Amino acid sequence: MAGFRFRIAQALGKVCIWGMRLLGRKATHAPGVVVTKIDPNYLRHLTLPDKVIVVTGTNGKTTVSNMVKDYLEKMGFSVANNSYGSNTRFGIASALLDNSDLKGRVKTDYVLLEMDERSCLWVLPYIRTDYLLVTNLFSDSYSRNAHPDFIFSLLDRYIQPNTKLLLNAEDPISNRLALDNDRVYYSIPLLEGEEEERHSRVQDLVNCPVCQTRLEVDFIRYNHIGHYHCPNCGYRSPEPTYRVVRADLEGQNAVLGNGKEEASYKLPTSNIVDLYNILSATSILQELGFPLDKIAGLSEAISVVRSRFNLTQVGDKALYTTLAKALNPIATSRTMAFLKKEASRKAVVLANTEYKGPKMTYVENTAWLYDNDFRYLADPSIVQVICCGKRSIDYALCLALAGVPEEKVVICENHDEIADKIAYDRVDQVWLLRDTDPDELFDRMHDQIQERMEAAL
Amino acid sequence: MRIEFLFSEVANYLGERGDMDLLRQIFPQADFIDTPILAKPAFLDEKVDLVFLGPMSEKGQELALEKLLPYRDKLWEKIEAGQVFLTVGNGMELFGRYIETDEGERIPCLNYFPYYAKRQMLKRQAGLFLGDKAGLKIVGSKAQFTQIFPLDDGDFSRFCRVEKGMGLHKGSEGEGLHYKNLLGTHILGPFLVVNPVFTKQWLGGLFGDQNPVWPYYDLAMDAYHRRLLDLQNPKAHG
Ligand SMILES: [Zn+2]
Repeated sequence: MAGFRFRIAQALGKVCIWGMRLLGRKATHAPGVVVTKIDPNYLRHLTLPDKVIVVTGTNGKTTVSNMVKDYLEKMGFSVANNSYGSNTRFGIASALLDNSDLKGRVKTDYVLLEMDERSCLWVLPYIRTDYLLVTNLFSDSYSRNAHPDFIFSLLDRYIQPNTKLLLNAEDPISNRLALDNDRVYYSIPLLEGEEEERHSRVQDLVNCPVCQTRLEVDFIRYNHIGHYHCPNCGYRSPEPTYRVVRADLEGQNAVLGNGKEEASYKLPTSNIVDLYNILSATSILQELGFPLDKIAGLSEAISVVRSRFNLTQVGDKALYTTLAKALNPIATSRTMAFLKKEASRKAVVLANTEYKGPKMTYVENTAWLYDNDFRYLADPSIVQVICCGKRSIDYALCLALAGVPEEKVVICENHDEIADKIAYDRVDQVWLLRDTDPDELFDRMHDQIQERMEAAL
Repeated sequence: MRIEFLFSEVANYLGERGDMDLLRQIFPQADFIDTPILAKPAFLDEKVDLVFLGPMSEKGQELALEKLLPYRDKLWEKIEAGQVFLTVGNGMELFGRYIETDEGERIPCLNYFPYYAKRQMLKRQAGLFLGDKAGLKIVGSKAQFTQIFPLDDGDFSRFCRVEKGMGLHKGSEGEGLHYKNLLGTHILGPFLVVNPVFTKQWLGGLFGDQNPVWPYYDLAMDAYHRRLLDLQNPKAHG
């Protein structure tokens, strides 16, 4: 019966993709819903190529899977991938449907999927996953993801025994997933001259994951990302296979190694988060059999997706647009930590609110604001902090309680008025923090600010 | 003035660090005790004016229960004697009879009040909240895996009446627990931060002699009124 259902699903799914494309639609979600409705085991019934890679984790999964995909395609391989659609089971089903023939044979050399962590129960038991890379697990949307313990338990339960895991040696939460599985770790040891951040506002793990004793810290990079050992039970952070040998973040280059060989890489930014992304991407590629020096040769082709970090130069001033997902206090805090380091005078626009259209009868849960490390914005180099949207007063209150001087804070409910509120004569850089969507809103804000910056030259 | 943040390294989720910071700013002269999960709670042996227990993961909740159960009688004595104890999030579940898991297992709790919590790990309840406590509007949000159901063999006093959103459970008219100076609620926001009127009345009433400061009160009131207005919109959702 499953065979029949599957064939119907595959045929109707194909028609659905074709019809949607005819109408100019993206066909990256709905076809997946259709095939899953017809055959609930749709994903299981597909015939997959030899190598199936899944990337998940709280932060970095989109960038890492895009990097790996870019590389594989540059090397001339075909890749079934869901980067243009959603990372839920429906986005994944749509991508595989699109890349398969009528018999359900996925015709690409590789399957490379970005998976929303919460969707693992709908994906991992159904798709033979050869490699699973977990970037990290942090506090994320409280409504959806609850807390890292919950996501850990889900993944731990649904990771299949034959999956090889690629794990972050500095994340004591995710690197203990599925302890019986074959695994390798990747690591950035404390870099020369790197300043530790031992007092991040959110530390999702401080006690030993085995015995609950307070862990002793070897180093902490930020939040709970670091190396630890337990004085009670002997637990310690794992030894990596893939590692950063040395890195000059300012100079945007790094040497990566695997214990046998080393190779130099050019980095897309000076943000250590991007070094993690490169390291994870190259770890996957090495697992797939690509030699380190060959990957390094193509590293410049590996670029950070534009919408995630974009610089527009206006005369001698700069407008940065950077993705800091709403409801995700770690992504926002990392962005603030990074921009604080820039020596120039800055205006920061906190537009990464949950935006649900101009009527805005949606009442956002503001709890996540209080896990943001807004202390970074108290830095004297930050001249203005602009709070946007319906809950802008809540932002202002949260900033005040975090010690950001009141005179810096501008409250502006209407996103379209924000460009008028920036003190262009007093700042060299404008940082627009945006959510993943809606693109139109953030693109419009970007253009309005750029126009005003040009006029102020 | 002494304030104990109970199991604060594991009981700090869902933005409630914001409430802990607010307490530090309201009582700048107070001594603050951070009690880790492996330590005995200070308030059981010493005078502590206010105990705060924030939201935990389910694993954290079970650990906390393991630590508190041996002191069940002592803790009850304290509560009967008027210990001020605020718990936001799933802490209030510890004071009921049991927690029922997805698998139907019953985890025995402190059993002070006749209710139980039912966990549904794949059915998160999240959304806005508007309530009324003796004419005062209580605002906030909810994000939890549990619903709390009263048991028939007794009663307990709710913290507030539900006007919008989920109370103890879907369709419930009441939210939270209020017994003497023990206050438990699943309302997030952070709870104290987004309810400045209640916070000032409650803590001011209990500790007015401790020179409390109400930081950024005007701004907090602006945010409160604005949220209240939005929540009272018939089309409000969250
Ligand atoms: Zn240990």
